[in-house]
Amino acid sequence: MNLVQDCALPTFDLSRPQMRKSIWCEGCGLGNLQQALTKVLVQHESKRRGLDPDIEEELEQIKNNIALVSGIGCTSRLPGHLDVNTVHTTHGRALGFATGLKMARPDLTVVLAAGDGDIFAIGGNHFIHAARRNPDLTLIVYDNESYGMTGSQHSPTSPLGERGASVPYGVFEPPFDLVALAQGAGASFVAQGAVTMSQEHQTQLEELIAQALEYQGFSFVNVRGSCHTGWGEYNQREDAYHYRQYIEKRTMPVERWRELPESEQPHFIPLGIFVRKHRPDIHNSVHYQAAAERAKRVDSGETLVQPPAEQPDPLAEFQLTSLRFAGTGGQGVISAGEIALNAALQAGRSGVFTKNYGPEARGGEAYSDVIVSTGDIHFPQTDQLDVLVALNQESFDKFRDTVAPDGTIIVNSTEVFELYNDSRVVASPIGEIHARKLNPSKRYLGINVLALAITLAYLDLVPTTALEAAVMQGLGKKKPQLNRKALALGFAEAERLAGNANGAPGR
Amino acid sequence: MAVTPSSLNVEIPASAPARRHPKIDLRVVDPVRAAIRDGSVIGVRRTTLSGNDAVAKGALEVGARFFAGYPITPSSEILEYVAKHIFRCGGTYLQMEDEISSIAAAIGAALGGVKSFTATSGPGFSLKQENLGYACLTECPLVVVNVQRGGPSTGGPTDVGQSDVMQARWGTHGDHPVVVVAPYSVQECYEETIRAFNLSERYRIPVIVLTDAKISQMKEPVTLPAQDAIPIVNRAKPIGTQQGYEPFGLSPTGIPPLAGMGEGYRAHFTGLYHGRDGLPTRDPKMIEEQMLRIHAKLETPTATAEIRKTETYFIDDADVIVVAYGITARAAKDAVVQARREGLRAGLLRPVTLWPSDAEVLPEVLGRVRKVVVPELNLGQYITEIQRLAYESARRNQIVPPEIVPLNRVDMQLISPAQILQELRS
Repeated sequence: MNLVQDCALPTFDLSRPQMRKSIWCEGCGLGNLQQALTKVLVQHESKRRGLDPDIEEELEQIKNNIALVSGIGCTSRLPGHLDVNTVHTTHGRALGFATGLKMARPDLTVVLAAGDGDIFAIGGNHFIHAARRNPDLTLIVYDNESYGMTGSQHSPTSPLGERGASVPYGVFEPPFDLVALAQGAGASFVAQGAVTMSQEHQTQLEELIAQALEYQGFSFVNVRGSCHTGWGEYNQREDAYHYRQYIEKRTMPVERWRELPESEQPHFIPLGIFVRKHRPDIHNSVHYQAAAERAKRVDSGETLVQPPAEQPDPLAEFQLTSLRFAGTGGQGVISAGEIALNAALQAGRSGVFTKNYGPEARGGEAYSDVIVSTGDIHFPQTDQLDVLVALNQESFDKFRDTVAPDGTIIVNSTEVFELYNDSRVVASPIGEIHARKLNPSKRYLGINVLALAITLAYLDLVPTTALEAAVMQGLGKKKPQLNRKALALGFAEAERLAGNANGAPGR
Repeated sequence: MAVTPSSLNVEIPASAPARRHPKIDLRVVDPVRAAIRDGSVIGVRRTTLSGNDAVAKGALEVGARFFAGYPITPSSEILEYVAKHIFRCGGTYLQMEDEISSIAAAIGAALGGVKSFTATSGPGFSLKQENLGYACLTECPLVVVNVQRGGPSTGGPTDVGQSDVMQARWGTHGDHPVVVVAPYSVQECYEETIRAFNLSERYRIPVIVLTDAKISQMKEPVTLPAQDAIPIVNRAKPIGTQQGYEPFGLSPTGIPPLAGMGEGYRAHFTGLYHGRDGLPTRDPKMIEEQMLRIHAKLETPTATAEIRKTETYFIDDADVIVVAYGITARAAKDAVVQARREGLRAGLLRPVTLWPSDAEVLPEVLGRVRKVVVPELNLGQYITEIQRLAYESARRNQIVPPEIVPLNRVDMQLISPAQILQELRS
């Protein structure tokens, strides 16, 4: 039953032969929506790609490049009826699926058909973000002001006072103002059509969908339609004819509607285009293009080397040293650990680096741990530390007890004054060397490399050349002079400390 | 300096037995490891990476060209790495509005024909479950990374946990096939992500990479094959005409070919039960056929050999073993090494593929040992599978099953080698 008289048939048949039988009720407005969409889609695609739909192969190409995506609900069955690429997804998530598809395959024309419950309730978050993000999608919502498939519960567009299965005494929560919602979220193409008894409205619907498809960016067409077997049953509009007439008699062009007093506006259904302004879609936006361009300049900087020799006997004993670099946020103790690991790699050792997790380290104490070994390291932490590098008093106090009795604690004696007569301490005026001799432009800049050079060289953990390579390939790339100087100062200090240690054990 | 892992905190007897055993036997030829070994000819790349970076790097190098994610500790570095590098590889990404749309977008891109993935942690993994089921039923190649932390609920965002082992298997509703791999090192984060993509493409199935807060954040030296030596599997594409194309049809392998959009084969994807043509069906026979087929495709001999992966470490003569996976297996290895030094016949079974569980190696070994220790950073999840396999194998072979001992921790601390060693000794 075609309730719209003389409705223009689609020029081309897009239907899937196996899907000619639909779950939709007789007289449902969704048939008219499908008809309008089918007709316009072929026209749009043939124009966009310069293809002639009268030629069979070219019609095939047209179909191959259209993707229809939907969620869950009566409207969401629409894509299945059509012989294009169709994805019937989960409730509310169609915009997520379609956004991913369009991002990865911008060459496809991606269109969504969904219901009001699907898009504005469970999928509301995706709706506002699609409007904001502006992918080149066309979203067509069949808005029957209710959940049809599940049996006439009220939706975010149900009018106040009307009844439904979940509102037996009337809707008591106000509906969305969809235009304001979409516009507020940034949508730059918003239109509303309707499926009624009028051929004019059907033609207008086709035009609105055509313009939405034409529009480059996120375009949203709300289609007011009936659900005479569901919501209509509860609200004395039990047959399609009356429901459609009920919609029709309240419609008016948006231009006229805007001139109505605000108090009267809610009683009418404005049709036409509410918003259409130029805004490049995400792929064509200046900022996306600029980001993509900047990203291409990143160099992976990888070189091939010979694979390491076969691994040693797992039961063989091996040297294993655990170190902790601790200080205050900003002293670079995390990168000190990372460089130490890279130095181990350069020296052909194995290693593991762990840190206290980023967000925790934002303020106050920070530390990183490195285990360096001549054999395989499995468990990534040790009960006791072999070496602690404490750049400030707090970290010395906090971690002193975790150091093994025969371990070493290298302290920055410029900031650590209370040493508790700890025999494991090797005191070095790291802060003073840093401030006086390295002469950094910023507080703490380079102090980590200095401390690292002192530590690794004093303990003779890795060859100094390995440390040099690790520093110069990492931090040193940006400030080569400063880092070279920090290394040299550190090695010199390590030698001085070693000399002291020989003369006076345990300082 | 200490001469033994000081974490073990045990005395080493002077006369450690020197019996040799095959060190690592993965029972499968791992194509990425093979490519690293072959590197003697073309060279390998040596660098240091964090677990999260290794996952992201592996994904990009095996051909992932779309990523959608949402910030969540401790997996956000995957999003950040992708954001930095995917454009250079010719792909693109989005930080979506939530966890749900992240996996939705990744599936959308994957159905479009582009390898894609998403990454998250416990709470986000819970949110993704419905769409994960959609990917299972539509047989969509997809990789989901779950960096496990403490749970339930917000739990310990920055702390280590292994509490999603069962969620990874049974998180979404309905009977569904799924593959879950659990790397235990940074090196393996890279290798297993590559394997995850290859399995997902070959078998048209979502594959979950289950890491944890510890592995994701720590850095280790890694050896990577040269980029052009990386084994890459791409989904099988249909041949023939549109009319004959069945996106869910029967085939000798049980895996129907999958066209990308725009390639001349139009298909319908739906989360409803569907027939071979992809269109919704309520025909009981067809529903059963499809439900059984999506499970059976992982159970062919070829599939089993490729999907299952278990490391056996000092297993051949073992009478007491540890079954451990992920970060906990690292403590187990130290414990086994130490136990061997002490003369105990200890070994380690390390399932690298957690699901489907290794129905070949696990029952065989469980059927011939005296004691099995199962350390987990949860209150006992994978141990139920070990019990099932061990009891079934014992019943079949009419033997006494081994003693199976749980070792659990949920205080956000790692299980230490000393703890496992204690169980091995007793």
